[in-house]
Amino acid sequence: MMRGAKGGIGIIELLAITAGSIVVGAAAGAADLEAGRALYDDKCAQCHGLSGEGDGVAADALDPRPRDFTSGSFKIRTTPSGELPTDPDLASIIERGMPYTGMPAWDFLGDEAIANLVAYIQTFNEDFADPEMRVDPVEIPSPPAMTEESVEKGRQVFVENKCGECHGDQGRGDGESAPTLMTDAGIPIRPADMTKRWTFRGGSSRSDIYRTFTTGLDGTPMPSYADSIDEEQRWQLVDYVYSLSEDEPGYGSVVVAQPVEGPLSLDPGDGSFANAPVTRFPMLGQVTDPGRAFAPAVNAVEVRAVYNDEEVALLVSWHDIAGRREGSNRPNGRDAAPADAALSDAVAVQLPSKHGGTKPYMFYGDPANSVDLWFYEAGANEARVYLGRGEENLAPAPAGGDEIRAKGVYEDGRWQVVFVAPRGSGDAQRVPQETFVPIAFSVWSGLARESGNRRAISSWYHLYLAPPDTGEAYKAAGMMGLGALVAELLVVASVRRSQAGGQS
Amino acid sequence: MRHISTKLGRLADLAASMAVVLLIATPAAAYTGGAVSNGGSIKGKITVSGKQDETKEVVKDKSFCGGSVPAEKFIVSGDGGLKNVIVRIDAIDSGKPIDKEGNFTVSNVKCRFDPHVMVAPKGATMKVRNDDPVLHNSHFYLVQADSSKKNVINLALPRQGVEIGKKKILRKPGLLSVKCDAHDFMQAWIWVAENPYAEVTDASGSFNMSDVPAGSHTLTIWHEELGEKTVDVTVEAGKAANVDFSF
Ligand code: HEC
Ligand code: HEC
Ligand SMILES: [Cu+2]
Repeated sequence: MMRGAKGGIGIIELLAITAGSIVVGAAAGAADLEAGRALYDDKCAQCHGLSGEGDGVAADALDPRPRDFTSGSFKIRTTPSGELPTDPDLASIIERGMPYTGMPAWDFLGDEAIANLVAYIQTFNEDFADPEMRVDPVEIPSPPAMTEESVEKGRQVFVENKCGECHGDQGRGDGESAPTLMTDAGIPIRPADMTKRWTFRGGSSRSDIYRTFTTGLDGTPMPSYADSIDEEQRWQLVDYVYSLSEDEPGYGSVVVAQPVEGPLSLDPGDGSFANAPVTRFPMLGQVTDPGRAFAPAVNAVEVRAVYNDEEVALLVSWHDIAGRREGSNRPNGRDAAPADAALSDAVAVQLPSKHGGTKPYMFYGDPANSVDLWFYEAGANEARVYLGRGEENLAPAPAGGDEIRAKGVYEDGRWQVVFVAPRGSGDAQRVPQETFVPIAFSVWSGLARESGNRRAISSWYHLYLAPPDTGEAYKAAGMMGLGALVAELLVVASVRRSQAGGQS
Repeated sequence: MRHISTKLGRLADLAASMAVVLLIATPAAAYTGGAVSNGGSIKGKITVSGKQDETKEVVKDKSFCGGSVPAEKFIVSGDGGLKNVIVRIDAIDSGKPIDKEGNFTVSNVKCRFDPHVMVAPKGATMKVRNDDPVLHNSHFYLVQADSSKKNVINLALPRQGVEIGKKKILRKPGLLSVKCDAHDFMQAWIWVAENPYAEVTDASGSFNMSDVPAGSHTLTIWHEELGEKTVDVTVEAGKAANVDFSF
C-alpha cells in the first residue's frame, strides 16, 4: 500500500497532510521510518524480500521460510489468534531471533534501531495502520511456583487436551497428525519437540510456553487454547511441558565408551548402555555437495558406547516425527529420490579406515584418507559397510572385511539404533583404547524425503574408549574435549554460516 | 517526535498509505435493512450432471472416524439437484432486515463439519463446537480475490462439548474456508454476507430467496468445485422469479 502510494501526487499528498495527525499519534509513534527502511534493506531484505513478501534471495534455502510481512500473520504474539502482534511483540522477536530457524537475533542493533524496524515492517501490511485491527494483548500473569504436583496435574491437562495428537505422547513431535500438518502456505511443518525446549521459536521460559498455547502460532496448525483451558490448568500444563526438557542441549564433542564384561548386545534396552554417559551432537544440513539438505528433519543425535576386548557397540538415538521402515535408502548420490520411491529412515557412523593418519575429509573421506561408513537402513534393519574416498567415490566395502551388526527400534518418536563392530587388531586396529578416534554421523528421514547427499550431518567428533578407571578417562576426555570443541565449533559455525542457519 | 520536521517526506508516505486505507475502509454504500414493500422472490433449482461425490481417506482417529468420510462436494439428488450451492445477490444496498442475532454454529460431528456449507452475516457471532470425543481444531481462512487464503483464527476444540463463540470470525465479508489441522480431510465453507440475500441450496438443489426488492438483480451462484457463475434476473412485485441453473 505504502509503495503504491509512494509514487502518487496531488490528491494523495493532500490526503497525507490531512491524515498526518493520525499517523503521528498512532503506531508509528516517533520511530524513524527512513532509518528503518535503510536498515531493513541492508539487514533483512535478503531473507524477507525488499517488498516484505518473504521472498529474499536466501528464502528458498530456508525452512521455515522467512515471514511474509504482507500476510499480517505472525507466530509469536501476545494477542489472540489471528490478530496482529503488538509493537513490543515484534520488537521482542526481532531482538531475540527465532532459535533453530534462519531468523537471527538482532539485539546488538539496539532498542532505537529495532523500534525503527518495527515501524517499517508494519508498512508492508495495511491492517497495521487500521486502529480497529489493533487489539489488546491477552494478559500473561506472573507464573506461580512450579511444583511436583503442578507437573503431575499438568500431565493430566496435556492428556485431556490431546496435545499429544500433534506433539506425541512423550512430546517428541510424533503425534498421529504430525505427518500431515502443513503451514498456511502449504509447506509441511513439524510439531515442536517438547524434549528440546531450546528449539522453541518463541522462547523457552514458562511465560513463553503459556503464551504459545494460549494465543497459538499463526500461520501454523498450532491452535489457540485461550478459550478451552482455564487459567490454573494452563500453568499446570506449562509446568508439565517445561518438565519434559533439560534447560540446555549441552552438546558434547566426545563419546566416552565404557568397558563391559562379556558379549555386546544389539538391544538398545540392554543394561550396559544405561551406565554409559550420553553425548548429544548437533546435526546440520549437508549443504556442501549437490543434493543439499537445507532444512534437515533431525537436529541432534545422542550417542552412548560400550566396548569389550573384541568389539565396540554404539547406541545412536534421535527423534523424528515418524519412523519409516518401508522402502530403502542410500548414503550418497546427488539426485533426489524418485517421487514414488518409498524411503526408509537411515543413519550412518563414519570413522577413518585407518587409525592414526590424517583426519579424512568429513564428506565421506578423500582419495588419500578413506573412511569406513556403517550405514544402517531401517528398511532392511541391518547395516551395510561402505568404503569412502569422497562423496562421489563411496562404494560397498570389499568382501571379506569386517562385519558390522546393527538393529534399530522406533518407538514414541525416537529411533534407537545399535551398531556392534569389531575393534580390529594389530595394524588394522580401528578403535584402540585411550585414543581419540574421529567419528561422525549422518541421519536420513524418509518422511522428509532425505536420501543420498540430502542428509543431516555432524562434523567430526571423537570416540574415546575409557580405561576401566573412569575417573582419569573423564579428565582426559574433558581436556581433549575442550580443544576439540573449539575446533569443531569453528567448523559448525562455518557450516551454519554457509547455510544461513536454515536448520530446524 | 523529533523526526517530524526532518522526515516529513517519509511521514507523508505513511500518511498517504493510511489515507488510502481509510478510503477503502469506508464502503461506498453499506447495507440498510427495513420493510420491503412491493418485493418479490427468487426461487429455483441448481443442477449438475455426471458428478459423483468422492470419499476422503481418514488418516487419524480411524477407530472413531471410520476409514473414510464423504467429501460432500457433490451431494446430488435423483433428478440432478445439487446441494450446498450458495446463491446470493452481491450488489444490493437495501432490502429486508439482516438478522445478526441468530445461531450460527459449525459443529464437529463424526470427523466432519456440520453444516458443510453455510451463510452467516458479517458482524454476528460465529460458534464452533466439538461433539466428538477426539480433538479437532477449527482453522478459519478468508479466501482472497486471487484465491489465496488469509488466516483468520485457529481455535483448539480439545474435548467433547467444548463450544467457542467469536465475533471476530465474521469481522470481514467474503468466503471463509474452514479446515481442521488434526484431520486434514475436514473442510467447511462459510459465506460471510453483508446482506440477507444469500441462500444455500437444500438436498433437492432448491433455494428460495424471499422479500427481494422489485427490479433487476444479478445472482451469483457458487459451488466449491464448480466455481462462480452469475445470472441476471428481474423480480416483479408479488411474484416469484424462477432461476434454474445447470452447472
Ligand atoms: C537469514 C535470514 C533472515 C534474516 C537476515 C532476517 N530474518 Fe526475520 N525471519 C527469518 C525466518 C526464516 C523467519 C521465520 C521463522 C519461523 O517461522 O519460525 C523470520 C521471521 C521474522 C519475523 C516474524 C516473527 C513472528 O512472530 O512470526 C520478524 C518480525 C522478522 N523475522 C524480522 C526480521 C528483521 C526486522 C530482520 C532484519 C533486522 C530479519 N528478520 C532478518 C529469516 C531471516
Ligand atoms: C493440530 C496440531 C497441534 C496441536 C493439537 C498442538 N500443537 Fe503445539 N505445535 C504444533 C506445531 C505444528 C508446532 C510448530 C510450530 C512452528 O514450528 O512454528 C507447535 C509448537 C508448539 C510449541 C513450541 C512453540 C515455539 O515457540 O516454537 C509449544 C510449546 C506447543 N506447541 C505446545 C502445545 C501444547 C501445550 C498443546 C496442547 C494444549 C499443543 N501444542 C497442541 C501443532 C500442534
Ligand atoms: Cu478434526
